[in-house]
Amino acid sequence: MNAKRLPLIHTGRVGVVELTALMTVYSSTEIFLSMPSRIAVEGAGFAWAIPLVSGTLVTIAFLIVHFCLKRFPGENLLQVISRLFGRFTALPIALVFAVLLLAQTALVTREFTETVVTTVLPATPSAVIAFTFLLAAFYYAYKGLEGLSRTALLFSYFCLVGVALLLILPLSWFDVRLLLPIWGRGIGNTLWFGAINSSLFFNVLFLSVLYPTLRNRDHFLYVGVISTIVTAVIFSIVLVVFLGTFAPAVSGKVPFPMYQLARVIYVGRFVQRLEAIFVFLWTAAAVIKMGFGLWMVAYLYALGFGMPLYRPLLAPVTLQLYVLSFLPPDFPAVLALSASVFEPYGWLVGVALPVLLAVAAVLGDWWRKRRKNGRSVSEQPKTSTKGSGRWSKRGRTLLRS
Amino acid sequence: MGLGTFVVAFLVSLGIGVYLFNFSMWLWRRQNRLGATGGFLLLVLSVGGALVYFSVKL
Repeated sequence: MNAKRLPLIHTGRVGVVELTALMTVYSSTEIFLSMPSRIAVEGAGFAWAIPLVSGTLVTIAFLIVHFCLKRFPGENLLQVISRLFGRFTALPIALVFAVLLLAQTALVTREFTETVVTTVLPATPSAVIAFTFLLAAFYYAYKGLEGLSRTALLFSYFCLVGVALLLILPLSWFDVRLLLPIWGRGIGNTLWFGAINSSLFFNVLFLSVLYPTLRNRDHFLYVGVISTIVTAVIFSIVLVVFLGTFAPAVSGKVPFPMYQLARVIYVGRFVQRLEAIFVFLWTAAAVIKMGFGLWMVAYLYALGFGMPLYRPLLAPVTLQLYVLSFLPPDFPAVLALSASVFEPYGWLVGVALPVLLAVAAVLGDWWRKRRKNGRSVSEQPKTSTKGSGRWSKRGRTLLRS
Repeated sequence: MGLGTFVVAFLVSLGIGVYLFNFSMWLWRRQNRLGATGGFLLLVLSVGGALVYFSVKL
């Protein structure tokens, strides 16, 4: 084995639809947290356009990564970087990705825990709820990428129907005048917040690492583009309903927007306050998000350090998540940390860094190819059957194997 | 954090630590020095961090 190459960790193969569902569910879960409330404050009546701007930027970033990775079939971004620039270049990059995801998953764990304590189980200690969440997430992550993606696909149907119900039923409170003025705080402001809120989408980072696990790699583009567009549209619709139901001026003071939307439902005497549906959706989405975050951290750590397995790392990473999630003293501190660190800087690691690495990989490969007189290092010998025996083409020479 | 909770948290952390130590030693014996270093680093960060955190909470 080439010493510079990262080992391939066996993760199984995932289908295109399953991976699309996993990416969509992972990103869309933000609607159950404080994200709509935060964005409503940033964009006022035009806040619904912020996710669309972010989605467009992330799609462009993904297209760049896609066209770069097409040059290296069968390898993910870290493996390409490791092969071209050395193994010790890939290690810090993998660690940066892993630390970002670890911190983000810890914050998500705490946010979900506090939300459950505040709304559903006020007498239960936070530690018990966090432990239960992490136990489910650990089991889920232990099942691997195939299990994760298939569960996400199954859940995505229920999630779509549930979210649609939660958005349609409170429409009796909807007032379109609350969305005025149409430009909110201005187009420039919306574009700026759209750009920095691209940290809501980690699709570029995830897919650049999960690229070799796709069963049909020709559909890589489909997974990235569809999951980003669907997520952006979901964010946008949720924001339209949220802003039209609660005025933009007060929407920043609603800590759990979807929960509040579920509470105001009143269709008749027998159909009202449907937060019970919401809680099921909420916890299932939380477990998927935490489980995939946990799996990704363990996988990136194992990949960076060249370990042949990632499952033995799941328990220590779960322990780390538990401790990290309780480091912020209270829920407002969690929200402040999320708004002051992850929102302004998360996109640097989640979107910009994968793009830069992909472009650097292409330039590095092009440079090598030029140095080796037109022979690319990524090019594998092309084989074909001619007459009897198998022939491989290396440069202009036909070799018989 | 009560004493009972602390003991449970301490034992769970210790168990995870022993498991991770064995995994790292397995990697070391397979000449995977970088992987073993990563395992030991994670051992210090996760189990060490957790033990310090639970002790402070006590």
